[in-house]
Amino acid sequence: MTIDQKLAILAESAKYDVSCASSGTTRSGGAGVGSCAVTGICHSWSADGRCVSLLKLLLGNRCIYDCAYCVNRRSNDIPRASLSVAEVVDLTLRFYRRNYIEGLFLSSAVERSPDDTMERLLEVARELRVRHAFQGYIHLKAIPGADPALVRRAGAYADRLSVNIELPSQESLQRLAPQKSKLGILGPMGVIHDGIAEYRAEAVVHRAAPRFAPAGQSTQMVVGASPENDLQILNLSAALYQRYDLKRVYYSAYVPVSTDSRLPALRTPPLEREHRLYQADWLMRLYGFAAQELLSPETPWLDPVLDPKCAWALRHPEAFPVEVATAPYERLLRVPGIGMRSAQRLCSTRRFAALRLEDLTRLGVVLRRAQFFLTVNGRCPAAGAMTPQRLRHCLISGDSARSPWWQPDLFAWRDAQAAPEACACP
Amino acid sequence: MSLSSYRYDGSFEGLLSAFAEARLEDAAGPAFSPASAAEGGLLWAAREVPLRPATAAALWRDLVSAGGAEAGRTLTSAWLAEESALEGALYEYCCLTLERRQCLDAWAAQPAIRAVLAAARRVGHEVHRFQGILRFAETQSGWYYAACEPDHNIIALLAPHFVGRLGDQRWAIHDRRRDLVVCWDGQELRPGRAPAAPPAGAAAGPALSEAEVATQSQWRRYHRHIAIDSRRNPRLQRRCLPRRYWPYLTEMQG
Repeated sequence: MTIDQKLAILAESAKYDVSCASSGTTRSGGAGVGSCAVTGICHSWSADGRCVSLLKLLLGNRCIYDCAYCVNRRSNDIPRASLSVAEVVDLTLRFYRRNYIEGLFLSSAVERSPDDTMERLLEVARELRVRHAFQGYIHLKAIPGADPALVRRAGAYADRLSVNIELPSQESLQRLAPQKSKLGILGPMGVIHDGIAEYRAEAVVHRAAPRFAPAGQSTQMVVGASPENDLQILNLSAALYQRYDLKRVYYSAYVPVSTDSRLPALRTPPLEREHRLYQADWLMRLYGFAAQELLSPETPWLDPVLDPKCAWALRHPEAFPVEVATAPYERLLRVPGIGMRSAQRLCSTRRFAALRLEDLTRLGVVLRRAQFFLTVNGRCPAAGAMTPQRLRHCLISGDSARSPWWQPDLFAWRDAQAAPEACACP
Repeated sequence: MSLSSYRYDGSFEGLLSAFAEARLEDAAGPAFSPASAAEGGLLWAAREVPLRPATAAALWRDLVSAGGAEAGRTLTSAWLAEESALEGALYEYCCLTLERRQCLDAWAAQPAIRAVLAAARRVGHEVHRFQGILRFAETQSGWYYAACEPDHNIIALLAPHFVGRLGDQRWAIHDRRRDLVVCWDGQELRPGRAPAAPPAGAAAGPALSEAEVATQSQWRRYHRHIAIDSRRNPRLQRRCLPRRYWPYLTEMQG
């Protein structure tokens, strides 16, 4: 089999791994080739619109496991191949020297045993780092069930390590991936967490402390292949962020790759749900929201038509309006239509001069959404009082409150039946 | 105070010379235009300001001592955007910085500062984009050659990134829109102008090495196979990677 054929087969097998991040670490200098930019760099975009930053490959796709949701499961009839260590190293360097990629994301099916697979992954990373003094980005998969000592050694070469949690609950894992166990997955995750924590503590004392996965660890779960609701998923993510200090949890809409009766019959992957989960995930990681604020046992699903921040704002009229001239950064972040960038700009520019309404759009605030939730020097940009229903409609359709469609007299009859006034503005 | 219009030679130092002149004369709302711009449309004649290296250097020093290196970076980046009619905002940015003796980049609501910042940001974004989408091809002579047509004049800002990354190989980045080149021979970075008339047959770039041809085809193959068919989304792909960049992207050929 030629290397071209292997490349095609193993890219096909690797493409369901979501992460392509190349951020979170800087590397430079050295005798060899390469550097890492802390922001990460995208090099291309494939036909599905996903960015290509790393050369994403499996070392081999022959697998002893038979996980129902996985394209590489033993019982699936697909072409199989494996690359040698030298082939992967050569391919990585040739692509890297032409600026096609930011580095390598290497994973593998388990062909013989977890230890054997982990050792081969480790071998690739060591060849690149030691023999070729490669300073580009390396993301390695830690194989569940592998010897903790091997996972430890991987951390010395890799920028990022990840173990896929695969499915959101132990029951689903048992049903769909009977050969894998929660403990087998959380074990390496804990090893990586401890390694990173030790490295960080040591790096404070002396800067030349040996690195251990400096760009942190991430994980991934399949969404839509099992019956868990969004609240269960977000609670799990929150726990992973807290307990294992993960950099990212990735969600992968289940792509029907099998007709197994244990799996739901989907025509297309649940992309909308995946999108909402990512939005909620960002709110938890960067906007200071807790999972319990976004969902509750009574409403355990994210709103498919409204983003989770707007949905939260609608449920919490008491938190609004927010006065942009004085509100602290954390409160600005909770306003729909204000993101991190615009909140930072609002905070910095108001030190120089008083904010005016016309400044907001220029600073990146999306007034279409934000207008209902803020005041500028005591004045509210949106016209008139709002019922929650009306507000919801405005946020979904993007209609302005001033749009003639929503003239109060025209729809007065509807207001009469609506819930009590809970205006976002005074 | 006088209403004035200044004409400079089109270079950054020339512009700084004109700024110094305008500050000296305390001009109100001065206009600046490069010598290349067509005359006309002005109610009063533009005055030529010659390039005065010492004056320009003095103004630059003042500016950096007032606003720090950050203000200097913002100003040069905005200048490299090569946007017409930005000179007025650049001038106001300089004056405000000198007046307040601090970097004002955080004052995003001030119109001139916002305009300068926005231009600098467009340049920064394009530099970041090309850090990703620039493609080097190995030539038969062992050099790596990359051609591009950026919107802004960015290759001088782009080159240091590749010195840090591909410092052990010899490469050249060619801005085909402006006919500018930056070469790295493993030791030294040399900016220059591309030969006005490339040798015959070199229209598509220099001749490629054998390994290059194989690697390009492997990259194309990889790029095709990494996409998930059931998630196909060409609109998203084009939004992230606009078509105007495709002619120089290895993976989008053939």
